[in-house]
Amino acid sequence: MGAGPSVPGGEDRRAAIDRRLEETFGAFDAAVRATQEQIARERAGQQSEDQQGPGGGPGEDRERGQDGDGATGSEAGSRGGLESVGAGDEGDGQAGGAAQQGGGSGTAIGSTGSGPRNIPPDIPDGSDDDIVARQIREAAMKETDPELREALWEEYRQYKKGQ
Amino acid sequence: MSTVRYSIAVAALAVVSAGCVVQETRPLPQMQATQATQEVGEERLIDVGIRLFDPGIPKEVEEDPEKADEERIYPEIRRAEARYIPTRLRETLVGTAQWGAVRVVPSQVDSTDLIVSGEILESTGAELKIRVRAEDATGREWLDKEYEGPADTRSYREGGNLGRDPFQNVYVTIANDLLAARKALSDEQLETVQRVADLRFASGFAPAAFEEYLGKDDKTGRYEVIRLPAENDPVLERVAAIRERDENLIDTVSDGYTAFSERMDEPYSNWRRYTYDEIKAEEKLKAQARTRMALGALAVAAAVLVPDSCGSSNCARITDAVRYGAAAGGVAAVMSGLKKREESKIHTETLKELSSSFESEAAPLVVDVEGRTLRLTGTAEEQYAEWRRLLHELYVEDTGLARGSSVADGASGATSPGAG
Repeated sequence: MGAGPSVPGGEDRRAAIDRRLEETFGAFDAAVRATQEQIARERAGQQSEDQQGPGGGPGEDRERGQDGDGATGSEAGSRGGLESVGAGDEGDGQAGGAAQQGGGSGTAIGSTGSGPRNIPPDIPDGSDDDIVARQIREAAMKETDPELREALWEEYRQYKKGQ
Repeated sequence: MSTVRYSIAVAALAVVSAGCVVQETRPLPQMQATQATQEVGEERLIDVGIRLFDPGIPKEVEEDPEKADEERIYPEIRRAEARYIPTRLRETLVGTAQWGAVRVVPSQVDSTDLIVSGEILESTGAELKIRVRAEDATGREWLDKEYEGPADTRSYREGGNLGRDPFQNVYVTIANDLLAARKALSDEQLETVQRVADLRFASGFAPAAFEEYLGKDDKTGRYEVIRLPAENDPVLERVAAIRERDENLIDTVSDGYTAFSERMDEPYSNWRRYTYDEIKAEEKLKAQARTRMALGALAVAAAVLVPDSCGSSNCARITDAVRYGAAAGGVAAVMSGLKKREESKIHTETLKELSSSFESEAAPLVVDVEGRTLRLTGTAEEQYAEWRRLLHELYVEDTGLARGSSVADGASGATSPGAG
């Protein structure tokens, strides 16, 4: 990364600007990717340390979301550029309030921002989910492969039935 | 490893505090943030940037360690919490699936749809109090409120509810308030927020090309879209490519803060758990000391004031006995009060030790994460300067604008990653 040479003048000036942009994009992406990999390694090391450490018993594991392949928030949840957007429903649930339920906070540490994806209509709002149900639910919501996503929802349904 | 060192310190201090276990209080309701039950439309998927919080360290505390102990504001711990708390809030928001990308961002970032900032007012193992503000890209305020809550002691119990933050209810309340604020806005208003955020970002990179699209009301300070650029605008296409990279960079910075929080999780949880006990024990003993000394003083005063109006020797003996008994009881109560006060000092000292130990644990973690953030954003700033120049050249090429015109023409402070 860093300031590069000035683009020379001439009729192909625009193409030269684009070439320079592409070069710098490549260098920038590589630098960011290197940092991402470093962070991912550190987090993996930390998680394995947590599991091996004195406080890493089964009852003490922190509820962490699915890290998946390390995808970042902009891949899933944010839009790019100035594209126009479509209409949709608000989609607010009613799981707020003081649901008396042991377990987690409904959070997913480490996962980055994303909107829900195709929640089937028969799926309840999740307000009474326990940790396992919530993890399956979150995994299904993040899954981009439709077959795998449906399999996860089916898993969720089965688990909820067995509760 | 430093965590081990801290654990040993905690264990040793836990022994000193004589078999302390988390003192139970009435169970708090465990609130859950409102989750999306169906896909949220793109126009309502607002991206959220949660800035690092203001640690809320008073100047006198920063300068005087004794004040820090007195006020229970430990600067290094506060600096760590200023990074940890936004991460917990982020996790809560992500868990609702109500939002677009949710990131923890450095303080200069303002190019996202909604910026949440906050200040720590009080943070101990027993209580959390923070002030939170949220403002969207147009300048509309979504909320500006203080949030507070006691610790849910179930999170401190061994084998208990350890997956849940003791102050999760505070984060849930903020998440639900943000959602309520979003629900109060129409699709059109939310679309405008997103467009303004995009245009502010674009203006930061190519001010000359985008200044005609974005207006700012001088009176209200609010931004508005004057008109939209053409979809095939050549500068816009490049800006979109840069935006993608900027978001990737901010994601990486945010991931760095998540990694920081994960490293801090265990020592911080231990610190909060043990300080909770110490705080509660200290408060209880101080209250007992105050009560006993006050009652003792009253008893002694009553003894002095026992009426001396007996006409017989029996009456006089009884009066003397009452006077002696009251005085002795009063003195004993005062002594007991003093003892309680001394006992409470042990807990005060333990609190200091625990906090000092955790401060030495947290400080290098903060230095690490900030060092990496600065390296990343610093080099990005250099690159952004070049991109600004290239975009300006492209704009000049397209419009035939004089080549000598300034790159920063119309730009204001758009030098940082994520700055719009």
